[in-house]
Amino acid sequence: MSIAMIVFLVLSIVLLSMGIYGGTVQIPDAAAVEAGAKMPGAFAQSVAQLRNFYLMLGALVLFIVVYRFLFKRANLKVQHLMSTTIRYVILIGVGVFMVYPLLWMVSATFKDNNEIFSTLSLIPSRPTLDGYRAAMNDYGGDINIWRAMLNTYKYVLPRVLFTVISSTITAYGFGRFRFRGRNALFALLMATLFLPQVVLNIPQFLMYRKFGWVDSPYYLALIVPSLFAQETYFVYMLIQFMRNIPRELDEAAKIDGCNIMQTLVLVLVPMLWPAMVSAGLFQFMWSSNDFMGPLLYVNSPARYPATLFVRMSMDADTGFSWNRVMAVSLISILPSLVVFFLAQSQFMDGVTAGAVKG
Amino acid sequence: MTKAGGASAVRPDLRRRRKGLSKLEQGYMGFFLILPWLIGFCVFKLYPFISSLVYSFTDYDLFKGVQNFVGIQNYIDAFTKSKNVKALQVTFAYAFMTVPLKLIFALFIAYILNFKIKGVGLFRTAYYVPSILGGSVAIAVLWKALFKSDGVVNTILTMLGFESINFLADKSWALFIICLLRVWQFGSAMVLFLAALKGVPEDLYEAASIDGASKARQFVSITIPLISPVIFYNLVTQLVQAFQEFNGPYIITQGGPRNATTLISLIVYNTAFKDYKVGMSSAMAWVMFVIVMVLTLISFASQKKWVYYSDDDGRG
Amino acid sequence: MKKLVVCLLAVLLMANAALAMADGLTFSWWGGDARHEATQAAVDAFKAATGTEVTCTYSAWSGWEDKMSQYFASDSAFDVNQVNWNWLFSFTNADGSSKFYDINEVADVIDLSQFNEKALAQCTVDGKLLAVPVSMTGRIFYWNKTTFEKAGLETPKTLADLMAAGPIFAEKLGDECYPLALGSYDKMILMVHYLECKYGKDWVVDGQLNYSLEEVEEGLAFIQSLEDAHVIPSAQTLTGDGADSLDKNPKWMEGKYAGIWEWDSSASKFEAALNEGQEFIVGDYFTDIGEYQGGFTKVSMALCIANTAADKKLAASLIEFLLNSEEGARLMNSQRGIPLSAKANALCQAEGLLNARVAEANAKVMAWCQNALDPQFEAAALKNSDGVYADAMEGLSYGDYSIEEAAEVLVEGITEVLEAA
Repeated sequence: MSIAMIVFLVLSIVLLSMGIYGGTVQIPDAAAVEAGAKMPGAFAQSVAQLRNFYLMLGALVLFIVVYRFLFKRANLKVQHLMSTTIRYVILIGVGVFMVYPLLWMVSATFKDNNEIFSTLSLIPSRPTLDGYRAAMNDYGGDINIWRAMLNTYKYVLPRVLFTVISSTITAYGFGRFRFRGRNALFALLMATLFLPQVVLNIPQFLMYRKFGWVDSPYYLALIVPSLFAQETYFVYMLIQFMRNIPRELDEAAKIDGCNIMQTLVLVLVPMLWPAMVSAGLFQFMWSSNDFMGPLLYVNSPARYPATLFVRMSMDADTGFSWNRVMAVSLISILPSLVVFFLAQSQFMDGVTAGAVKG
Repeated sequence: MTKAGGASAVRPDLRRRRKGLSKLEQGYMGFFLILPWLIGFCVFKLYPFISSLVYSFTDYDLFKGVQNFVGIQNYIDAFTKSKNVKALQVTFAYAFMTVPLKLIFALFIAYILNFKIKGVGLFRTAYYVPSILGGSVAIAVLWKALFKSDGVVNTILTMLGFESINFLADKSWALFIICLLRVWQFGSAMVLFLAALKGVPEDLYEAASIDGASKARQFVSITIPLISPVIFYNLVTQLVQAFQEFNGPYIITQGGPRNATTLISLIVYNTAFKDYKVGMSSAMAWVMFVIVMVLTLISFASQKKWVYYSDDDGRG
Repeated sequence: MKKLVVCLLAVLLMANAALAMADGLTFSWWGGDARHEATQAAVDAFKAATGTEVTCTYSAWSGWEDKMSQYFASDSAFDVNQVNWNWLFSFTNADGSSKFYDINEVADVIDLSQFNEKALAQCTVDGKLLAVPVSMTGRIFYWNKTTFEKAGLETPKTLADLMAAGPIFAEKLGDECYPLALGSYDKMILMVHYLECKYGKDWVVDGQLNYSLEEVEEGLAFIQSLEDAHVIPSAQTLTGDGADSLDKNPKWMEGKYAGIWEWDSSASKFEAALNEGQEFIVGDYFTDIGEYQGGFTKVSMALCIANTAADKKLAASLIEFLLNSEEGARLMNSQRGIPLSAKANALCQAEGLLNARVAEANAKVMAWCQNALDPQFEAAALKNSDGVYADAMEGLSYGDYSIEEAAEVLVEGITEVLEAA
């Protein structure tokens, strides 16, 4: 059996690479470009394309036919091995689809502009730091990528902090207390989960304009709403979490003489902590990525956060160099990446916390 | 979930199980606790929500303010002006392309990952990273580099011997790459599915195997019903999100070519801040709100037919 | 974890402490790097001369118009702003009053006699001078001489030359090379230029479109003929290049697109964007379109004082310094086009400070273009990326509209805007 398998694998690899090789020789070279769109060339190319397509299709069909033929009656162990292999092939294939763009982005920052789109290789043939050097450009003396990053965290960090605190308190109120109108208010809360932000954007803009919050140096329009637990998703997530904390704990605390706030801080918060961290992490990511908010409420380039800075850097320089734009973009998402890798498990738990009850 | 459950093990002396749940605290304290939220709700949600409705019946201009009450004229325009109609169509196309694609893809990958695969953590991380970054401007910029006419994807296509495709300029391809950007972020939905799949008891499958049910049959009859609450949750959240997509079209295609990627959120922004027509823009936003609401209600109504909750208190 | 919270708080406090409010004037403009540097230098000189702190905010053009409309709409505009001409007409309050301060009120600070009547009239609405014009501009051709030489051609002197160049480019340089590249708005202006050269009459007169549907069809047929003859790339091709504007387009930078139809005041950024070793020259108007010298000139940009400015006299003194003073004129030279101010112009000429290319182009524009421009030509609903012009021009190029349909779209859209104004 193992021999058949090897033969099969080799065969399919050969066939597949034939398809790919057949393609590469057809890349129009300089001479072909010069010749322009002469009919025979174009015709040959379309024939080659058709051939390649059928070659690859054929390889695929062959793969399936041989697979069925060889392994239909194979023993369970081999069948298992094969299906495992296929699973890994799919997973790795999808993984490439997921990660290649990001890796390409990283490599593009080290390539020179001529190389970026002329090769798919992830390793720059002439590594250069020009992209990064240009990425440090100052625009107007008062904004560069570092300041933009600092600006971002000037509102992201308060937002994270306030969101977690205010959402926890609100979740506590809804999760642990009964009062008049609780059910109606809870329904309202849940309804806002499905309220599209787009409906609110314009009146909010007009309102904040009246408050003088537009282009505020303290990013009031971006921060203040988070003091009022306005991101329903987190409230919902924390309520779900709280449901799983036995109420007997609260009661015991009450008997021990804790007041309501003490119960929250001393008993519930330690239990809720993982959920609060998750909420904070998500708020961190979402706020760092937020584009619409700053687009509406931050006007002065000196106050631009990274998202707007990336947008601006596509336009602000003479000409256009992709390595610089890629470098700026990469720097802008680096903190988010680092935080994600440091706190992966909290993210995974956090995603599931809102939706799946334990 | 698990962590909170573990908490009771920490202080077992406090764990005095009684029949039924103990009562919630009574009185006004709860109200005071949610008061900040309620104030915020009224100021930041309710007031804008209602004023948006009011504006939508006026000719509110960003500079000139409200001059006339125009009745339902803005709504008539929303359904007759070709630009607006097109935006509605495009948004529907976008939502109905991304949501199923993303969910199916997420479920498929989660299903594979749920076999005892080595390195689950690694794959899960790799698939999840785009969800973390996908909404950022940086990724939108990257997308443009990938799909421009001499971009990375076309380099690959020509290498394989195919003709390159003008993704950004072709009306259907342009929408497709905007969709792809969202499908690429299937990670968060996948993580949810994965957690749900892990929750399906192993013995159910074993029993089914003994009864001679095929893998496909098991998937349809056991897996799908048991994870239906998560499918439902993903469906609704993804639907609401899809209708609000803004960054992708704003950065990658600017709504072009020929408005083929002008989603409602983009036209709402453009109408208000480029044409200064706040009234018209509010009407478009409200049209969108009603659509999202109707779709959400339909989803909730359909819930009874296909979503199975293990306990009876549902979710809502 | 508590440490984390403490750290967060510390960072917050530091961040907020670092924010300091500045006094003095605020000043905003858009432009390219060269303009930024020159203006910054001029502002520093103003600071040195008067001791007034000036906080500058500047950016590139794209997205700036949205931002500025938000600033003005939210009454948070800067004290002194570089404004586009059409903003003078679109940024108005409900009662018809403008967001701009009437410059006549500070005529004692700004020497308005240095500016010609025609330019001042263009910035006057209801008897109020809303801004001080900086320069006049019009559209003209620019060519990448190097590319034309590669194709074995002279740069075109006539429309016939240009039409002939299309197929030669395709043949000698390859399909992706074109002698000219036009965005939708460029196409629109070129079409109006073509029609005005042919018929001599202004595009809009007394708030009415002055051209018949048939004439507009003729103009659109001309634009279509450029595309058919491989003179300009199709809208699809330009979109696929993935560049926000032509000067960011690698094909322009590499010389694959060898011509533009641009404002004389903003062409220098196209020149700067070219890769090394390419020669950029000002073209000539084509004499074989018609018997008239068509095309329009307009105030390219102006400096205004926002109604919200605290100290209007001080703001006016900055404008006076930038536009009329010797030092300001020297530093700003032709960074905002050839200065309108007679004093500044004379000084720059005498000292040879003007960019030769800009001066050459401006002289050609001013000598040629005879038609007047209606301010609504640049109305947002028309010239925006999803406006009427783009709809007609792209629709035509994509094949969504026939020439007749595109003409109808244009005429209806323009009429609607003119009637609303």
